[in-house]
Amino acid sequence: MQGVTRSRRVGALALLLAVSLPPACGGEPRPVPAKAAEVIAPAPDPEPVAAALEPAADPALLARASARFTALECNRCHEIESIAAPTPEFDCVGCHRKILAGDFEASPQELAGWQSRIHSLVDVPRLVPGPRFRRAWLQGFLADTHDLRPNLEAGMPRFALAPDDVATLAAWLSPAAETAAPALGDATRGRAVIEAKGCGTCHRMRGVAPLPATTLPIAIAPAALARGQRLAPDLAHARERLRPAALLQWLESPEQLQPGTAMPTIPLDETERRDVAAYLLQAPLEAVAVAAVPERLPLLQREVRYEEVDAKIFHKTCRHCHSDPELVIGDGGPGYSGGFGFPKRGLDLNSYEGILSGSLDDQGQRRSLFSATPQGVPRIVAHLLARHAEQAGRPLPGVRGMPLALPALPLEDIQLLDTWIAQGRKRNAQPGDDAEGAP
Amino acid sequence: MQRRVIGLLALVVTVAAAPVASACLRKPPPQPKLAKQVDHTQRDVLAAEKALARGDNAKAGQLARGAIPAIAQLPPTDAAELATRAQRTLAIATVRSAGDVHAFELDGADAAHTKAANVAWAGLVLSYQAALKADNVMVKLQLAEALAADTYQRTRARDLLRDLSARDLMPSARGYAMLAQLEGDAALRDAALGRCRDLGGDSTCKA
Repeated sequence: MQGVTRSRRVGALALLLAVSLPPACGGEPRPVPAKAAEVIAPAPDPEPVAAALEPAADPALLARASARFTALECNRCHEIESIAAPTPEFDCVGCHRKILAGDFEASPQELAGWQSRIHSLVDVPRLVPGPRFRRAWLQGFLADTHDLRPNLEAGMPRFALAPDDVATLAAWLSPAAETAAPALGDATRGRAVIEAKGCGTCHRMRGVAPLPATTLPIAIAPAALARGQRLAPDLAHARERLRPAALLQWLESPEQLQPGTAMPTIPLDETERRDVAAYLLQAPLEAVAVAAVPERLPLLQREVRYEEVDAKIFHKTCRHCHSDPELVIGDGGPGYSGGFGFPKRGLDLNSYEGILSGSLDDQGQRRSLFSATPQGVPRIVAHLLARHAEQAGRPLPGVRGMPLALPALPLEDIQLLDTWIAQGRKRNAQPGDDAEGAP
Repeated sequence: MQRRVIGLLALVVTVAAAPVASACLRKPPPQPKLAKQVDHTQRDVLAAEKALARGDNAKAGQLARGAIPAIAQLPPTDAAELATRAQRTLAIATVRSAGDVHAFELDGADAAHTKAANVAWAGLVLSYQAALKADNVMVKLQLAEALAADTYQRTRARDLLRDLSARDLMPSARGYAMLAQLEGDAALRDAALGRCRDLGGDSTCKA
């Protein structure tokens, strides 16, 4: 683009990416009316999932991994070993971090404004090939992502990865053959070690008695602790996720397996490590009640105009990924131009006209955002409600929840949008509506 | 030689006599300033669109031409998306002003011919962009507006608008208002006016 300076491009992108979520997205979730929990999640298998050791990954898959990581734009969020960072326009996390650190080229007022609103896409796991993860788990996770880190606001999106890509990414992340683990220790003692070492300061473990947040046995800087808390996975996933031998290595020296990890090295002797591993991999997990999917609220009785919906929803959240590239700097976001493996949808939620212009379907044809689903819900509303279902652990087949991987919008905001649509999508009179030349 | 020695002595005395404090407090020599260049193209294109929206076609044209100097070129020499957007803004300003807003001047032509040439240019620009951006509903609407200004193209304009309406893809109340004006069928005209009022209210929707 002629004459557009790099800083301007980046600035505009930063503005777009400065995800300013509604209050309920960023802080404590608003209470939402919901049916009582009805469904009981099946307890994960208390035994390690696969007794057989995984072989080395297929070299053919490894050979294509770098190209696929780049094509799928995993590096927009993840720092990936041996994969170049994207250009600043596409570097979501890098840009957020620069803004929060005050290193971004912008006026102090702009920086302060962005800093007050950015609280997602800052801490993201760094991807390095290693021995830790079960390849089978990685494949399952990539094909059907779910919430893994309960304290992290933005989760892994539900992608639409082809089976080949799932196998390739999993192979790259866990390329080596699995080695046999030594005998595990005593799970009861392991629980005691976990409590004594303060693991509950950062971690949760669904299905067992809450882990107490006892004092850590090491000094850790507040910022590092906060980062660790955000990135700490739910330990209930460990038995499906981790290879036992690598888990023991990880407990001994996390930094050795993943340089820069948020997991600190907690002093544990070999017996303690085996005991902790036994607890993580073998402790019985009780069935946990799955949260009910909140119900769609009835339409409001008062009049709703576009300006209110835009201020509360479109302008705060949606436009960061769904903007017309004619006007914004960059490509308009993955929700317009495609990206992360998603096709182009041509969806502009940054203007009234754009919203009324609909989006492209799988055949490249435009369709209205307001057409009803078989359940009679406007399509755009269905996507917002689907995010609630995803958060409750029950993703809807064929309907991707929005905002992608971010906390669901409060039901009251969805109700506002729903009402606006039902009332005919009115907006305030515009200057020039009755001007000469207007029809 | 004597003069050189005297000159050197004078210099030494001058330097030695200079108060230390004044040397320390002296302002540093001026450094060349680094000018920060800010591109206002985006801001200007937006301003042009706002001027167009409030009915100030002349201002819209002026701003669009100022933002993209080679704006009359077809295809635009600046292929950036922003340039094509500015070009459409100018084209619509030209159509709405019946050619009073110019994208270019014609040497030796009288005012009527210049106006007609500019309106024709606007139609070409919008047809060209509509072909390039087949999935862009706003461009379709703008093309329909240009076509509607041409007596011989009104049917085509109506068909474009009917299609958008039937698929619930009309991007503005103005589109329904245009459709209402182009519809021969009373029931369809009323329906278009009804949708126009749903979206924008009475001020936009004139029968």
